[in-house]
Amino acid sequence: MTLNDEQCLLEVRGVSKAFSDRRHNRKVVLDDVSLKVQQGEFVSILGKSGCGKTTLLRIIDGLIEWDEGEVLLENQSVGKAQRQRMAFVFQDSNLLPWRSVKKNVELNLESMKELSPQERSDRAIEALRLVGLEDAADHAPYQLSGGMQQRVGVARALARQPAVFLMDEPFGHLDNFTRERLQQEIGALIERLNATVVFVTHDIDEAILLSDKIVLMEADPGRVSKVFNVDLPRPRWRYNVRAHPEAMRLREEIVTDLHLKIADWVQPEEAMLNGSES
Amino acid sequence: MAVSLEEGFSDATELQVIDNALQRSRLRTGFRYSGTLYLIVTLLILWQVIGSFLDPIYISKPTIVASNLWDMLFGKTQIWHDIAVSASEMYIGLAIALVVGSVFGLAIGRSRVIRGITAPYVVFLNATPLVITLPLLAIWLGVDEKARIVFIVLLATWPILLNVAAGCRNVSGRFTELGHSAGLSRTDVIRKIIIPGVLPYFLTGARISAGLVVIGMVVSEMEVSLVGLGYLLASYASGFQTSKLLAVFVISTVFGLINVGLLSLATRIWAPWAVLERKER
Repeated sequence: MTLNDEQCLLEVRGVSKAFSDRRHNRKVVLDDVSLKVQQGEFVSILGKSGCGKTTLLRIIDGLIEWDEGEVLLENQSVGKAQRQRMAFVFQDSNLLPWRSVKKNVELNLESMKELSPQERSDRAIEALRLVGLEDAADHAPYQLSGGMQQRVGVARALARQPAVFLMDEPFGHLDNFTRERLQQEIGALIERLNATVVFVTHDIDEAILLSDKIVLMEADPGRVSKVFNVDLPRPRWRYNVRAHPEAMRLREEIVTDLHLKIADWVQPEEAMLNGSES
Repeated sequence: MAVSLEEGFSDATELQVIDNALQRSRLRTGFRYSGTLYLIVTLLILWQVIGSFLDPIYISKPTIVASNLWDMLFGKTQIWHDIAVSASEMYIGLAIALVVGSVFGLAIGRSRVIRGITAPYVVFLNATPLVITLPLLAIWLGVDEKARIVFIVLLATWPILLNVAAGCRNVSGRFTELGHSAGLSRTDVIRKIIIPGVLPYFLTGARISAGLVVIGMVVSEMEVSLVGLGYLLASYASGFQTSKLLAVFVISTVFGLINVGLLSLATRIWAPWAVLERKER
């Protein structure tokens, strides 16, 4: 076993998954997908919809079964104990409407029998403080805006103090302004906590802004097509990153790789005006 | 995790705005209630005026109906026995429907197999005008309260069953993954997620059923009974005693209002989020 293997916190090794539809046609969603995530690394899984990126994340969290391959956390095959050290942030904040904000955060701690109710409560408040919502602890979820609800979703994951955060397009359902703000805020928080994150997105700029490593996936069947390292200085600010030559080069490369080459379907002048937003 | 990021997030004002909006919505509710009261008084006056020009057989008058009502409740022709019989049938029927509806609703909502097997029957029975079962029930069970209670149960089970089943599917779809991701056991998922999530659906179904049991009681007593409010309605109707008929009608309506009101109150107490979430939208 080499040194590199030991440093690797989370590893996905040759995972394949096929679904059967009603007529028993098998559709391969993931085909021999491998992935390595180091301690403290922010890895984005980027791809068009239908490439199986969310499926991969759900497999890592043990939410669905897979057919072949292995998922390893600290070189151990993922089981119940390992899953307790991972926390999932859903695309839709998924807050239970009958629980207060704080009780929602506590839900993620209720399977940890070693915690007393007092410790659970303390951890929940601490997590809410990290996302700046300790004043909303006793509010009901429906009283919060979409962005605030999503931050509670992040706090719920933070409370677990997990080894790995699994985030499934956590900003995907938000309006543009809120999304940009949360990318910046949550990004900064993750940076300060030096958290390990696997982040699913279809937004190229979001991936470049937040990641250390971008894993590009292609669809039908879902495969890893390329891995990019993002060598941009931190802390990153949205508008600095957008104009950074390295970021522009990376974006161009990813866009090319996704077969989205803008010049193919837009006039060059138009492309200049619109930038290369996906 | 001792890092703080206060400068990054600040929503004190946003929370304040939300609280103020809730305050305003309470004021609006108060205004609406006074409007409702005003409408009722206007309609009663209108009824009184028009009724004065017509033969009492047609629509009677509020004052005559009121004096008949007084007689039935506290005067010479008290009908407390009929009220008691009707109420007991209604509430026994509702209680059974609540249990049967939620048990089958949960089973159908949770299990795809049970859903598949029962779906045609649920559709068939829900689409059948159940009144046609009344003569059959009378033949099987006799002209007494058993037949009437069974009929009330048949009528009142469906809204509860269908709502609980739909709620169960909805809540499972939205939140089971969350529960699994949080590491909750199967029983904890049911106890902490499914049951509280289904509660507002159950209460919605129960509210509809609480209205239906009044209908079930009246209809079944009109057909298979010699006692009860429905029987009185039928006999006053055949005797053209419109004022008395309307007095009994008022009593039946009050039952319906009490039932639905109590269940609305229960929803507010036990599932306030369901009421408030609706209002927010």
